[in-house]
Amino acid sequence: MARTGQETALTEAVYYILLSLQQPRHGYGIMQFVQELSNDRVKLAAGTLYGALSSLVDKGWIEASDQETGRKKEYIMTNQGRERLLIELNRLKELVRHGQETMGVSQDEQ
Amino acid sequence: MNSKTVYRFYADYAKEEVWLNEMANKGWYLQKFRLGRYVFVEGEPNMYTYRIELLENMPNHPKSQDYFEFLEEMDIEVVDTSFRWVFLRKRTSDEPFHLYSDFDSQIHHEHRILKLYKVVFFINIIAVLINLFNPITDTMIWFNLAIVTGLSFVMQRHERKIQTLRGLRTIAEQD
Repeated sequence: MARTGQETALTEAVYYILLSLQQPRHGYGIMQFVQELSNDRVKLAAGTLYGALSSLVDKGWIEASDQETGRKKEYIMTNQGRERLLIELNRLKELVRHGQETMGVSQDEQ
Repeated sequence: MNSKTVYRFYADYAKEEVWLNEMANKGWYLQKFRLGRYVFVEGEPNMYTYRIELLENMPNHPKSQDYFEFLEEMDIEVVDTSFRWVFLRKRTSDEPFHLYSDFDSQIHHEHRILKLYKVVFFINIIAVLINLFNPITDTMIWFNLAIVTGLSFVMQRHERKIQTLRGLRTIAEQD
């Protein structure tokens, strides 16, 4: 099925990386933030994180900060990334709503 | 510091990785690697977990250098490199050390390895053909045939591994 980039679901790794990059963070900082936010559930491994960061930079959803020598490279989300994250947030809300509707479960009784 | 040299040949990096970690459990830490030659240094048992990765570029490429810096920030040590292969290790006192945390990135890596196997496979097929029609170096043909046979077995197993991962990926992003 042909899909435009606007509709595709983000991977969990990408979703959490974007959430973490609302402020500048370096690699280790992203990993820690995601782990804390998800109560230790999402642990991004170094290779996976690096690969995701590289493709997000290529897509223009995040950018790497100008690097001074000896300083750790930091990343931050671009406006394009933020737009994409909002689309994903709406998609996720829809998923939750559909689940609650069809399963007859509301938010407080799970 | 005690050290020892072991000569071994692995076609499957996953088995090589298991062996390196068995050695580390016994207190022997890989320090240098050159084409089947492993140099280990002795220390307290089980201090490090080892991982082997095939890079997209050669180790001295700026992209690889950038990746190594990134790994160092994560307290992951580059032990040695050989061609596009890199040997990494991390202290066992930290969290369990894995390079990939979802199926997509794992499949991507395994696929890169499969491509390398294919290149080596076809180079050897060509070598066999050259030796068939131009029998000046008639002993080499057996060497190339052995590689072709061995590799076709390894490639099949690797292909199955990727299929399994893809199957898992169709229902979930990670386990």
